[in-house]
Amino acid sequence: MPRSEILAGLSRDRMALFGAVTVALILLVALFAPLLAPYDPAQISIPHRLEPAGPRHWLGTDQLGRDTLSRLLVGTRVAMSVALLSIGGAMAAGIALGLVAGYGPKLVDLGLLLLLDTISTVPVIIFALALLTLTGPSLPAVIGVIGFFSVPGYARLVRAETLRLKSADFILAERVMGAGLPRLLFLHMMPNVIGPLLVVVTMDVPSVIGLEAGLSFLGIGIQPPTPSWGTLLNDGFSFVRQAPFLVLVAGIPVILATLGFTFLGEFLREHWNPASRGRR
Amino acid sequence: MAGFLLRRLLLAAGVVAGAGVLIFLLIYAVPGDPATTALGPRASPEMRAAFRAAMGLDRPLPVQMARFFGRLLQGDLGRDIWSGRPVTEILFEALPHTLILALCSLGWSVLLGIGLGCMSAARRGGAFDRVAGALSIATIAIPPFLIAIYCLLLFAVELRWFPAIGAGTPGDWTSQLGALVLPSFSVGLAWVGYIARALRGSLIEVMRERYIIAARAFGLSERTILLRHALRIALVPVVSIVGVGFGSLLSGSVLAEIVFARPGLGKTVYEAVLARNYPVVTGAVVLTAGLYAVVMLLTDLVIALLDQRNRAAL
Amino acid sequence: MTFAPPLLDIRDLSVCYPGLSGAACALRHIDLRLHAGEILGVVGESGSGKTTLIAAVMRLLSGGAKIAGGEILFDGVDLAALDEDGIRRLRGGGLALVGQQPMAAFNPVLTLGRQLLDVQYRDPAPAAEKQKRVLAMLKRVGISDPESQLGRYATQFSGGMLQRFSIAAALLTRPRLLIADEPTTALDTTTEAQILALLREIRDEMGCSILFVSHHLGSVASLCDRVCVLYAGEVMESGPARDIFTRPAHPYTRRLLECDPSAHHERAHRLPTIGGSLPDPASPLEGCVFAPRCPEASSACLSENPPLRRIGLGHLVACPRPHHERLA
Repeated sequence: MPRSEILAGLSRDRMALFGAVTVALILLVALFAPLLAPYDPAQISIPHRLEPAGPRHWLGTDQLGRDTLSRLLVGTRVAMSVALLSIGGAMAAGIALGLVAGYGPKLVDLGLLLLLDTISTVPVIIFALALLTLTGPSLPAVIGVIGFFSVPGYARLVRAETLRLKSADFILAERVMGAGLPRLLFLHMMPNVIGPLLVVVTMDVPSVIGLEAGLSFLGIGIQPPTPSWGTLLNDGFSFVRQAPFLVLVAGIPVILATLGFTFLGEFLREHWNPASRGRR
Repeated sequence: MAGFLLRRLLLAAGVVAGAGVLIFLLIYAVPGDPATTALGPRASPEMRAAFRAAMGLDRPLPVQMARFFGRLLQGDLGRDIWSGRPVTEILFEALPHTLILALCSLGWSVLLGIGLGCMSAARRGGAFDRVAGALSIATIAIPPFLIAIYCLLLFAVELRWFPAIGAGTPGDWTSQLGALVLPSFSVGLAWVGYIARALRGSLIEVMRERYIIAARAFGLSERTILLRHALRIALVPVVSIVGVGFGSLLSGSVLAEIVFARPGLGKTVYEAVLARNYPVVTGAVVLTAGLYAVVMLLTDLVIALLDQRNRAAL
Repeated sequence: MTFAPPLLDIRDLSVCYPGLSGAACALRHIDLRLHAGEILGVVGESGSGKTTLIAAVMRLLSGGAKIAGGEILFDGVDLAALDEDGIRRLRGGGLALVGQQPMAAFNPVLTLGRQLLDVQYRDPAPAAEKQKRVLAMLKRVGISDPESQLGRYATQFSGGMLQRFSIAAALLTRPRLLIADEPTTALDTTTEAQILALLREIRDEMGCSILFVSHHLGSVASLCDRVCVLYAGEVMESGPARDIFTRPAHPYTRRLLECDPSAHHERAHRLPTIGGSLPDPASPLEGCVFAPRCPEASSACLSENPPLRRIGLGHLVACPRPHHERLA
């Protein structure tokens, strides 16, 4: 993955550049949110509820007088944490499943493929609602449910690589010399698979953000008072007639995040396309 | 033809059964006690025991599954915890609304998506193609429910062009159409981009085929070749994508229903979830699985219609 | 020999691809003439430029190739200079093409009957009339019981049958010139013979001129009136088929005929080949393009590219020392 090639490509493609800059900003905000927030996001101030944008509250206040800007900034951290944890879990599970599917017997492979297909084609909201009904909307449950739907992307990628390598000549040669197959697969697979994995991650983040925001918006995701973008949208939506400003502002970080990650992901995908891999 | 239908019906039954089994296993695998979740932490042990007995959760798992599938074969999905109404009745009352929304959204987005895809493929690399491509990606990226909220904000609350709530008055189809506009727009918007991009890629590939060059040798114009020869074949993978994305279409419709307070599966399931109404929720899952199987069947039929090479399976 | 102007008159045609280190020319200064009612064979191995020649005439060049010079006069009209609409009018309306791969000629998802009707799209006649023509033409090309075949798809036919359909489709456009690009290469010998016979009948009955491109010398010998021999993008020799095959003048033609396995009637331990390989089109040499591999090459051959000159009635050769003159 020639870094100079990526940087050169970024400077030419304006969409990708926008994506990269936006992603960088979001990650920075997530990291330094408490420092950047002008107010304590939990600080209630009823006399100042539902104020529009003003000099003291740049993005106005919500129905309890809390500063919207601060809540959005901390919400960035929440969104990114959820994304990190759920995608991390999905990746771990996906890699494991992919290795098993590729390396194991054909029947296991077929069964796992069927499972993966089911997970990726199922109407996410209905199943997520069903699952969260059973577990209750605790934070681990939400992260688990969101991660659950991301697993197929990683599993399929790893499975494909495993299958490809399983019968590769140099692998057979090393096996003849006594190296164990699982370790071999892992060692040889990692360099090839890191790029495409990164692409899947970048393309996954928007759906994870969307799902989390959606579930929180419905009230069975992140629970208030934690300031997630979704709960802010929920608050704003309840007061859409009195203070439309709130819901308008609450949606902007979601839009920026999803657009940014998607544009960046598209750009990365073109560069780590298996077709271009052959050029190396 | 009969063999094909039989096989697909068996597959559909399998999918439904699979979904049912999955839900059951999840009930057991998932940490937490459904009774506590439903009744709250302050429920007494007697209340919880009563709840579990009413739900049949006190029986061993195989027995529960057997009872569930036994009832399923008779078309019985259980009863609503709180009202006692049969789940099938509740769900089938709500289903048509969701289907209408889903089909409406799909309808306009397919038409627009095909048009944009064709134009992008024909003017490949040009300004139109680039702009359409960027817009496609953008509309796919933004979560549909957010688009729904913004549409509601702009067109219903601010401009008051369309109603913000409900499905219109029954019997008055103009009001019902009006109530469909914003929801189907927000659900379908992502699909336009999705379909346009998929069709563009597919068309470009088909236009490289040898028989397309042969058609040029007969002096046909590029436009005739694209529309009459290439489009039919290029649509096949797009139909596939739409079929597979049906779940996502349903998801989007569900969220739109909740945002616009329309009656339908979404609203019903959502309220059931908030009320911890398990039978309705599990019933909805099974129903969705069944719908999905039907959609896959329809997709295969359409594909076979478009490209005769796929008819061997029939 | 006719004194009427030729139907297809290619003069000094060059076709070049832009390359990293300068242009590579697949065709260089081609001169070729085909008269009305004639079957002209273009012979060459792979890399000789015969496919490029056809693509140039039909203006269907791909891969960045461009006509770099010369004229392609078809009934007096220069195809090389024609605009896109003009050439499109001629395709399927005067010029027709039958390709090498019969399966690649037809859309796999439309019935053959539909496609045979469609090729007559320029004709304002009613559909019923066109349908009658389709059936008549299918019988003509040797397809029995054509009515039952119309509803079927290309994937359901053998190569030989499809090639007949392909010829039928081309003929339904009533072409003045039928270009056949290795039409029998993908077929077995028996079918090949039938298709060749069919082509001859078409010329005899319909007066359609045929440009027959092939690397198979036997087919060319049995079908064509006149032959043009291409090597590495240049014409080596052209003339009446009888002359070319019985008294080949150019060293390349001679060696080509020697190498043809069907020319050998006794067992041989090794089949003759022409030593060396094709020159690189990106770096053209001075002198005759065949000289590096020519057993009779002299120093003059290596420094000067010999022009086509007449050595007999209608017989042209690009060689300073063709066979007859060496013998004489």
